[in-house]
Amino acid sequence: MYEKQRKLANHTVLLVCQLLIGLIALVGCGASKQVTRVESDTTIDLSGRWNDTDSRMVAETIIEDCLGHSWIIEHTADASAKPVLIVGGIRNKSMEHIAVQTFISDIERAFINSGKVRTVSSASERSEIREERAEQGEFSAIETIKRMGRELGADYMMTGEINTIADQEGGNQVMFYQTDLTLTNIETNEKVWIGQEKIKKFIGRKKYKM
Amino acid sequence: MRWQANSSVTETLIKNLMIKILPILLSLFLVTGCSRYSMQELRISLETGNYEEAYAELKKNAQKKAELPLLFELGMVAHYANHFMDSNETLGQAEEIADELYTKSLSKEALSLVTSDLAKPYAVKKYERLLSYYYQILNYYYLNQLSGALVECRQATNLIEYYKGEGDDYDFFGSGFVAYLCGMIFEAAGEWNDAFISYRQAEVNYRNSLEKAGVPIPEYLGDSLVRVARKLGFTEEAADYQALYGALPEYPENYGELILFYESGYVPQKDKVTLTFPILKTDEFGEEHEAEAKKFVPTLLEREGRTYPDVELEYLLHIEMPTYHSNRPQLTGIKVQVGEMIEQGHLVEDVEQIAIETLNTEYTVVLFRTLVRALLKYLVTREVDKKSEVLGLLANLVNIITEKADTRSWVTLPNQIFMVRMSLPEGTHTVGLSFLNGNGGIGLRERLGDVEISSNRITLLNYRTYK
Repeated sequence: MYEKQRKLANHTVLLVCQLLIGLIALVGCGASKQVTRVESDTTIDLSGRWNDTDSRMVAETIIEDCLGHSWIIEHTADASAKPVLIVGGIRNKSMEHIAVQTFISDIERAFINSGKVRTVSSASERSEIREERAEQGEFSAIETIKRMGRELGADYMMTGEINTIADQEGGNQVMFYQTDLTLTNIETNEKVWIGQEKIKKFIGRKKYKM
Repeated sequence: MRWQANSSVTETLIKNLMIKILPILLSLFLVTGCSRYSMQELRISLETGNYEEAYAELKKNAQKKAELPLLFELGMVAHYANHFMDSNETLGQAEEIADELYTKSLSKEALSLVTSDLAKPYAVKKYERLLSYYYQILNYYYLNQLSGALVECRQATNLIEYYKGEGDDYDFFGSGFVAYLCGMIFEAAGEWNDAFISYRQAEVNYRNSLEKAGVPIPEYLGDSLVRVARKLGFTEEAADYQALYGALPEYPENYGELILFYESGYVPQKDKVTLTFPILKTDEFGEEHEAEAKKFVPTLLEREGRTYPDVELEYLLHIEMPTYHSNRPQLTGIKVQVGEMIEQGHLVEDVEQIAIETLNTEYTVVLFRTLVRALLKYLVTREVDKKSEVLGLLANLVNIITEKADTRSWVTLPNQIFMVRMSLPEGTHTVGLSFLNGNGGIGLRERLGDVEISSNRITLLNYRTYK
């Protein structure tokens, strides 16, 4: 009888301990991840920071404004040709690590897809293309070699910057993004268009969660 | 009669088993948790320059559970292992977690009420968050991405502003140093106005934290203020700063500047101390309500460490509290020599001092919370004990084991940070480092070869010793 009770006690304690271990392991170390594919133009705001949607929307809105302005009509009338544009440096003066190159690509896409202007490669892209052209002269078949000195010179350069202003109180934060773009006539330095796009986001954090 | 005898034997056996097994199991969970890593091994790896091994080991643990302060440790070790991009990603992740901590988990808060503060996520310290920017800024600088360093500076500046806005009791710990570093980066990028604002804030922040942090305004900061005020054409301000800090040294056009941060030793690791509070048989409190227990805490505080005759004692309430013991390194200064030029380092951040002062500020609140929790746990135990001696014993054991001090902190941080600024001619230099011990003698010498100095530019370097 005594031995039976001793065994029973041992089993009970061990069972409790095992349950305890299982519970802690399950609750403490469990991790789950779910991946769902979505359309690339779907707006998803997770952190409240500048994201792909902001980049795309700002580029589209601001370029629509740029292309609807009088400078393009005046240029077409004077030169009888579509203006040639280059997208220069866009400085990130915000407090977030913004992928500026993605924003530049969005701007170039909006320009090219409009069909109203011609867009040439940026300085960094040009050097790679020039290198390729130089190598063609050495290694490619003569009939396929592309000639030097035939690059399309840009009439206008677009430059700009992205700024942020943050205001925070407790768990609530307001992020204000301002993108300023300027189009300058490369020959005369005349600023022919200045555009601005603002985004304001409210990021609210709950005091408590379960 | 026979059954009673056997029942008593069973109870004794269960008691013995509980005494032997449960403490081991519970201690194991509390001490190790899910992310186990040995700080001792990590320190050995760091001290022997085995950064890759330290980084790989920590990374393995962080993959199991990404939490603070482990991510800070990992980010810093990645920095020393020259994995600058990884370091930034990790410290960025740590920042996100720190932001999310604003939202408190009710379940974890509730669990901490019956166990210990260890049940809650690590409450990251303000100076730790600011120091993580120090490493992120350096990472971007070493990656030759000044724009990235500028972003970190803007974030750090914004965080300091947020802390200032939280209340008048902000201690400004670490904010002077980080604002000063941001000023240097803004200046290096030609953002004169931002540099001027950061330098001014650094001056104010150093002054505001001087009493507790013990670090005076670095004298180089005066030069920076005069120089940038002049560049901006702020003649009045430039004259004021010059009157306050002295004339700006003039250097030829082809000079650049070496800025070296020397990080010495380790910040002390939090320890725990057991405090004992006697509960007397005559005490009447908290039988019904938590509020009564809270009211009783001040009485209990007065009794800490006092002895009473056994006949008066009902219970000795033991609690664990975090504490710091000074851990000053042997090497507590630096002299830098380039050719004939010698420059002594200036203390810009005393991490040990601000860690201790931060704990001192929190101490009363933590002590009160811990005592209330211990009292409530004791009351529950007493009630349970009345119904079953075995369960009472079990409850008491759980109380003793779970009542642990929260000793978490970013432990691989340096103890102190010194800065040396030297104007040097453009070109490649060999830089001699002499590390000074407590009496001013040279405790260690090192040599850095091929340090590039460019005209009118700054060259940033950081160097760590562990002695």
